[in-house]
Amino acid sequence: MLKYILSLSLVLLGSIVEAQKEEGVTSGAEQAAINKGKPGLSVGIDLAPFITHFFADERFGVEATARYAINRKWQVAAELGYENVDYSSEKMDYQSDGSFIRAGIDYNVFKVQELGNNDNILVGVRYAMAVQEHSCPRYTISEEYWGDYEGSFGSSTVNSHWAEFVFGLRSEVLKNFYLGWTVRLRSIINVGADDGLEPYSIPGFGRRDRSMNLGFTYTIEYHLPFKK
Amino acid sequence: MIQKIWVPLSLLLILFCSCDESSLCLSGQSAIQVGLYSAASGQERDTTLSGVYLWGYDDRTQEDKALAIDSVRLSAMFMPTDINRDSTTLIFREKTVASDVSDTLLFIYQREREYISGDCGFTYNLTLDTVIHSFNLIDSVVISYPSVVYNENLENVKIYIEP
Repeated sequence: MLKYILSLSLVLLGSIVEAQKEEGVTSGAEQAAINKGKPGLSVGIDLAPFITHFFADERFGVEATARYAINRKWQVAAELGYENVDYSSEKMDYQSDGSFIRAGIDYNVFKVQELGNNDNILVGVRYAMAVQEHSCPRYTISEEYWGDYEGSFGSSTVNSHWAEFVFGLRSEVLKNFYLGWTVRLRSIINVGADDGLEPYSIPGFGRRDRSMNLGFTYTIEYHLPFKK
Repeated sequence: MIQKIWVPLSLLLILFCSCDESSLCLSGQSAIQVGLYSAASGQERDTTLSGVYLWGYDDRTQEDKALAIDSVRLSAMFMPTDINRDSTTLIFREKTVASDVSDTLLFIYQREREYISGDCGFTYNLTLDTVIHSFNLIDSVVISYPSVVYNENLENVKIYIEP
């Protein structure tokens, strides 16, 4: 975990330094306009589930994002997604279908001094919840001398809750079109375990056998400004 | 601007892909860890047998199984348990030239299934209730730590050998 954190710190520090080079000189009126920001609603999709599927083909998901920019500093964010898992190994088969929602707030720490620069460096938090129907059609407990034990779990529905700390960049690459990425530290709050079957993977959280996960998003968003 | 996003993103992707950890799965975690002790003089002393045969007895088929342990000079051993049942019968014999004296051990336990991870699956943890045994080589048996738990390495049972 320490290796993750140290490596990420270096990467993210580089990003911030690069971003902060874009400062310029502004008048008082321009600064007021900058502070006002670009209020409006952004909707988009997250490409990270497709990238994840490339590396872990047992998982497939889709995720939509929405964020409301209150002003230059504050944004309310929500993410809604679905994930299917069809995992098979020597030890167990596992299937899951589930949806998740995350909601929270982001704070823009990027201090620009030029009008029209709508880039963001975001830090934020999310509260997230997932509901999934899962089953384990087969599991095997190995015992070399006496013989293996084989069992199964039928279908059941469980809820899980977790919190996320978010850090990311978001940049307006074309007028009202944004590309952005975030890194997330996810920490489990509660996991359901109906009938003794804990989720192998929680939609929107990832592998359950770790109580903390690192995640990432890569979003394409369209911004609908509320007024000029 | 694009470069600002893509460079760190690419580094992150490499980081995520290269740092994905796999679990290290342990095997034989339902075996009872047994220590051999001397019953002489009322004092607890480790003892070492010159050799041990240990094999299972299947109560359902009423047949002996293959040897689980065939070892020289032994002071501790792992006794495999039948995780399909709540009891396991094992036969214990000292490996001496002149003797074929053996003892039968019946371990009675409760099983509790535990999820380990996606890679390692499930395991059965055991709680030892009782050990019933015969009295040829064995003087007495004490359950010192009744929990047989995944990834724990503690002695569960002390077998006191007749002097």
